[in-house]
Amino acid sequence: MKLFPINRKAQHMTETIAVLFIFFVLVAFGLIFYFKWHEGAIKEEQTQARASRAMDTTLRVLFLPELMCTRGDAVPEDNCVDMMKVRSLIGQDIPTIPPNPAPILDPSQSYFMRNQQYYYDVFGVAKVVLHNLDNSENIVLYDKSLSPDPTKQIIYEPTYFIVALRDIDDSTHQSKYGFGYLEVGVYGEVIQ
Amino acid sequence: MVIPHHKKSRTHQNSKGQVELVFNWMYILIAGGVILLFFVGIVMRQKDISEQQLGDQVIHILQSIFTGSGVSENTKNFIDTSGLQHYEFEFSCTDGVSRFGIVGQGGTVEDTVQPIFSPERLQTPRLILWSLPYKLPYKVTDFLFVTSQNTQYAIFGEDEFAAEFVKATGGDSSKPVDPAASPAPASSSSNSNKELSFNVKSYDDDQYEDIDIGKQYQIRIVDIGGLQISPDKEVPISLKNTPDIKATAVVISADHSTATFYRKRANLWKQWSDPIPIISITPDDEKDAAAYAAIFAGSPELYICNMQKAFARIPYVTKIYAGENIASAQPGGKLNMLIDSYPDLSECRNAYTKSDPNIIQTLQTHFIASLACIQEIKATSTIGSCTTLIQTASELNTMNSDTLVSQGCTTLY
Repeated sequence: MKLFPINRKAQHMTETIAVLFIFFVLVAFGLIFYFKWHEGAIKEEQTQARASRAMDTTLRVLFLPELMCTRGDAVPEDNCVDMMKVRSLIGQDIPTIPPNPAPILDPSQSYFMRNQQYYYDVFGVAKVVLHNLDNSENIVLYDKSLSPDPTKQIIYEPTYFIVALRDIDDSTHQSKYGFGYLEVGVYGEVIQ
Repeated sequence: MVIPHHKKSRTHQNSKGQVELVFNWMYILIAGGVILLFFVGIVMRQKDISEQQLGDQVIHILQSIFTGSGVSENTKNFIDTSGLQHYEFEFSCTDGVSRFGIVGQGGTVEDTVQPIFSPERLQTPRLILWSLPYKLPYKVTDFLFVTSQNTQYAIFGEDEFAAEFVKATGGDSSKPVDPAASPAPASSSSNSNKELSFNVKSYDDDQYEDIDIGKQYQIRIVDIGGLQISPDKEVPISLKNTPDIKATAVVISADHSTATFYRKRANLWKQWSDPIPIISITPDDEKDAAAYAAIFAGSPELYICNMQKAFARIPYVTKIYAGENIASAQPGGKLNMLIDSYPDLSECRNAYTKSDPNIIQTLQTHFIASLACIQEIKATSTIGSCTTLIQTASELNTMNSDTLVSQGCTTLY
């Protein structure tokens, strides 16, 4: 005589439930692993896309007809920014009589920002700053960031390029050159 | 016959056990099948997603390559796409927005800034990218020509423009490039020179019937002077079996002022467009980017739409040179700075402001002409009124390169 009579049906059901439980645990592990991997892959893709966008934007800025040093019909000067064009871009084309100070530069009023309906397609969400090493002036030519989102962190990745700054000497009317660097950065966002 | 009770019960149990066994197996089969289908579904879905992602990645990588090639002027790039030769790329453009994607896959890249002139479709182991600056009269943008080594350009015409085009593209009058040849690495020199060139072949006027598409993917006949292609003329014999979409022609007028597109329909050349003005003021020693664009553009729509992008840029660039109120002849921008750098009664100041014509006037006319041109394209998709830009740009160029230079004044651009 058995001490504890076994209900075979109940035992069978318990086994089935245990097997199903283990199966679903394994599936859940698989899904968690997959989604973690997928999340990582998406972040990696976003980083790559941002890097690619940064390169595209930088190239566009370096060869922008609105900034570059042209020489009539000849080939333009590489890695050179025409300072007269830059002053035109930031609204300093109206002469200031010394010692009157130059107007304060408001980035939102730069030419590219005022004509955003066109230049957004050129630069996208990015920032373009010209740093003049001769007078330590930082000229923000374009700055369009992403809309703030509390669930996402905005990141900014700048790249720098040394450029020559061509200007005109008012007394001799000859070209004179200075040094500066262009900061071209793109904005991106990551989920917090 | 009477079956004993204990035997009856065992028989009943046996048949019950058999049914249960069959049921268990069926249950296992169905459950296994469902689980298998579930995983097969996931695999298939992942396969589709991966293909879509790969397609998107390819497009975005190519877009980056296009951007890099497009901005640095006067550069030619030969891109090894042998790994992508099963993909067919398609290019289209409407209302100033060009699209580029892979045939049969949803994802496309749109662009409203960079003018890209290409055939409507490309399938190739090697892409060719060539950028040329578009100046009207100052640099407005860079044109990017996209083509392939298995797209043959058959050139008719014996003027300087034809010779210049054949020379610039490394064309050959002997033998078209074999498209089956696998691309050589860019570093290998002499043997690869042939492969690192466009598939351009020049023909004499009496060689019309000698045109042979061979193994090429498509052919574009470029008739400079208009002696070969005319409406309803029969296509060369060798092209009769070529699919209609793979044989097109463009006639550049003898004075290079217009381009007329033709396409093959039932073994005849059918006019695809009215003569489209070529808006350029290229000096003799420079390549005519707008005319070259007509050669590389696969259709009149692609040509006009991408030219629209270039025209749309003109007012923006002009305002940098002339200020934002140039429409009302109020100088600003770089021009204003140049004016202020000279004393009141100097010759240079006079050339900028008062002489007839002067730079302010000419820039004003040019700016207004560019706005009218854009307006017309938006309204009618034609560029007839843009011809005014040729005149205004020429005047501006003369003033900048001749008048200002001869008087020792600083040039505007």
